[in-house]
Amino acid sequence: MLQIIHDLSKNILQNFQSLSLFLARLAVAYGFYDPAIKKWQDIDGIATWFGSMGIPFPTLNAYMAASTEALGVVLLTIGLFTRLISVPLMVVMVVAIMTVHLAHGFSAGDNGFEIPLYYMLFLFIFASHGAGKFSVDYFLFEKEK
Amino acid sequence: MSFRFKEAYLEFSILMNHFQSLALLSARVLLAYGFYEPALTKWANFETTVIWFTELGVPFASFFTFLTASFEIVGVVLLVLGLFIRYISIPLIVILIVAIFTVHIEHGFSVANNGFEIPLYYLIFIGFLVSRGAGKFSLDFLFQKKDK
Repeated sequence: MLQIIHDLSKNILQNFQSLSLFLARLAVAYGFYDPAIKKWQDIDGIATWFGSMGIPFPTLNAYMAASTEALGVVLLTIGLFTRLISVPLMVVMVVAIMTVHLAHGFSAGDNGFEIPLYYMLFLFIFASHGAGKFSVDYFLFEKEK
Repeated sequence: MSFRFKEAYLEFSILMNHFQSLALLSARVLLAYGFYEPALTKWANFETTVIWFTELGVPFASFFTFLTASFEIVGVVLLVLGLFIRYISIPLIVILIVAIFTVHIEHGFSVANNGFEIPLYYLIFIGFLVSRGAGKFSLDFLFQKKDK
């Protein structure tokens, strides 16, 4: 009896796999939207800021971070090359944690590394699980399997 | 899209698939850490929490404080062990939804104003766990019946 209930609940809950991935993708895309827009509006200011934090090649890296983030917003939303774009976005998050947030501790209230850590976990989930069925990836790569 | 790119992407997918259980374990540990402090605060200041729940308009405040604090502390343990993940996730989802609607929603989205950003992320992480299970690094996996 318990086994039946267990299998039944498992079968029902498995239907939400793609939905949770879809919601996570939208949440992360929304999270990257503001930083991406801000970086493109004032790319020189960002380059100066990067330089002051000791990041090498600040102008090049400002453009790289801004492009990765803007591309990430689009690709995560439509679910195209999701596993691939997640990797550079994770790098952006690691750099953000190391240069900005780590000094403030964990809590999000103090601008700590809590939120970027959650984003990194979301991106790690995308890289390892793909984008789910509600995505362009599914039609390109998974469907005929 | 060229055939070779497709082949390369599929190979990359197979490589990354090996990290699925690690991702699930990370999500479990992170959630457990997130529920740890609220759970301890509720137990340490039980009376204050009852008063706070009453002010928020929660009926049967002391009963629901007890229930919430219990589910949270049990949730921390079960999330770390990866035991009964699908079952403990349901009350935790309810707790998060109630928290969003009673406390956070009037502050908007951003975490800087105590908005519903973090509980929303928790909700998505739990939704992810509830639909996938706990992964291979868990007691659920060890106790699972083999024939399937």
